[in-house]
Amino acid sequence: MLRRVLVAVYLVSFCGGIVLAQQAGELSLSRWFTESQSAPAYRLIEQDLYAIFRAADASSIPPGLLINRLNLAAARKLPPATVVAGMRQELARLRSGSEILDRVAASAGGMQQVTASRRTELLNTVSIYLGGGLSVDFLDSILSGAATSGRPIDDAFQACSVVLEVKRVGGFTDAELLTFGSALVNSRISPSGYGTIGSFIVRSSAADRERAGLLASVSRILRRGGGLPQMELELGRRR
Amino acid sequence: MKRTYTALLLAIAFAPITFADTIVSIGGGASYDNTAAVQVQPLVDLALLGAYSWLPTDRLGLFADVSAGGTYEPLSGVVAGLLAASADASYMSDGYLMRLSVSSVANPSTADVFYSASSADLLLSYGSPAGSISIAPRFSLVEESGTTAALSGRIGLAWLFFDSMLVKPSIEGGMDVPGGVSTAWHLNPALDFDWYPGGSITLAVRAGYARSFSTSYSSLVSGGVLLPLDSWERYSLSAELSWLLSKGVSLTAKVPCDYYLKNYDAFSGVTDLGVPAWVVNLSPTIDLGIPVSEQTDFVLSLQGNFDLSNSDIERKNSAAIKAHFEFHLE
Repeated sequence: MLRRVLVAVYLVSFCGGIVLAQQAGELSLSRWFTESQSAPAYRLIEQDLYAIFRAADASSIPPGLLINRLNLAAARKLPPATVVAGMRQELARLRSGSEILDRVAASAGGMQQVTASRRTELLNTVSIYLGGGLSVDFLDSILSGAATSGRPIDDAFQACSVVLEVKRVGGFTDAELLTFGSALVNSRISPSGYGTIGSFIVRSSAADRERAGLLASVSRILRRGGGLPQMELELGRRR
Repeated sequence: MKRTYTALLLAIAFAPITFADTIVSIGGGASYDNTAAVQVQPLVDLALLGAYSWLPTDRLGLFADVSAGGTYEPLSGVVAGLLAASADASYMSDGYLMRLSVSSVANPSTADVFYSASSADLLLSYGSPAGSISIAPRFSLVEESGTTAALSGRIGLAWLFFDSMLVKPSIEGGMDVPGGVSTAWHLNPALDFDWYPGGSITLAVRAGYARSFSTSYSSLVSGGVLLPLDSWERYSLSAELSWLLSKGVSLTAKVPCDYYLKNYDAFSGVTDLGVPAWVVNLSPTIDLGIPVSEQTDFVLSLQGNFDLSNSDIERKNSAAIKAHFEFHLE
């Protein structure tokens, strides 16, 4: 009898936990509509937003990330139709990001140890990378590559941030960006110096509008164990 | 060994152009020159620029740059051209970098004396991501109212501080042989400081001193003293700021400032300056690059060249504003 009661209590608490987790998004949105001063402007799209948050619950996306985006959109007073489209795009990015993090975790055991809050933080960062134009293939390759070779995942994230900055220069292909990102994360440069390499590329591109082979040359120097002094010597002549 | 060389030569010969950037630049603007007969000139210019890279192996890189262009000033009818080409090969291996390069530039003009310069440079360097030492001998020939041959060498150090500050002391020295009849020696110590704070801004500052000594003397006597030919001293300070303002939009501003002391100027036509001439030269440039489409950039350039001097012949002021469309060809 006692055993049946314990099993019943376990099932109720377990299933209740799942149900609660699944409803976390809806609850967060419900609270947002109650508490946010911007909410009345978005009553018209309430059902669309609930559908997005339910879909996020189904994919185990932390609702806080979507609420943050909603707050940003409301602060900028974006029209309701734009908010729905933006939130759908954000959900798609977060789903892709979640899948990337799962694949990275599968590549190496280290990622499996991260806490829920850390995973949320990483998911938010991956979403920003995707929003900035880095592709799923690029992030898969850099993050999983670092995990497989035993490099700290934070180094790979640092490299992705620099690649995102370099991408803003324009004129580089995805293949060049991938070669550069991969060379950076596997280089002898300390992660705190990755930004310096990004700044060098920005400066070289601005000073010399011929960008042919710039990233390939920088990648070659990184692969051969060089750093900023070698780049100045090798590429500075073109300025 | 012979097989290695053969394999290397075959790799170079059949290496495809790994990266190519060919740009056609069309633009115009206006210039001002206080020494010209027509001081304000509209101008039109056209240029073809090409940068090509071959990377047959990770250790070996081959690069070539070519450019050809011309400027036409409709009011004075002056046509000036620019032809330039350079090529270099670099070899990298575990901290070592060796590069051999040759370059040539010519400025034919209907208004000025034909100018051309060619040089061959060798760079040998050893280092790590934290620092390097380099030696660079150079041979050059300059053609402008006669031929000047020059041989020089440069020793440089580079050291990275706090992951973002590159300090580069260097000393360069050499000799110039104008017309093959006289010899001038020059020495040029310099200190470069580059700051890469991460992100979209970089700052570079350079301070240098250059001194030219001539071993040949004019036949003129000034106060009983033979004046050395074309001797001068130069103190220079320059700053360069690069800033990526937003996606694809870049701003580069350079402000070089030089202070010259000249004892005698062989080409000025003035044979006795009486007192040494001093010149403060400021030549700021600002370039703003804005992408118009995937293949087209718009570039706005402002250039100035301002002199302050105690000698009338040294006071030249000019300024130009130019706008270009640059088309990147596939």
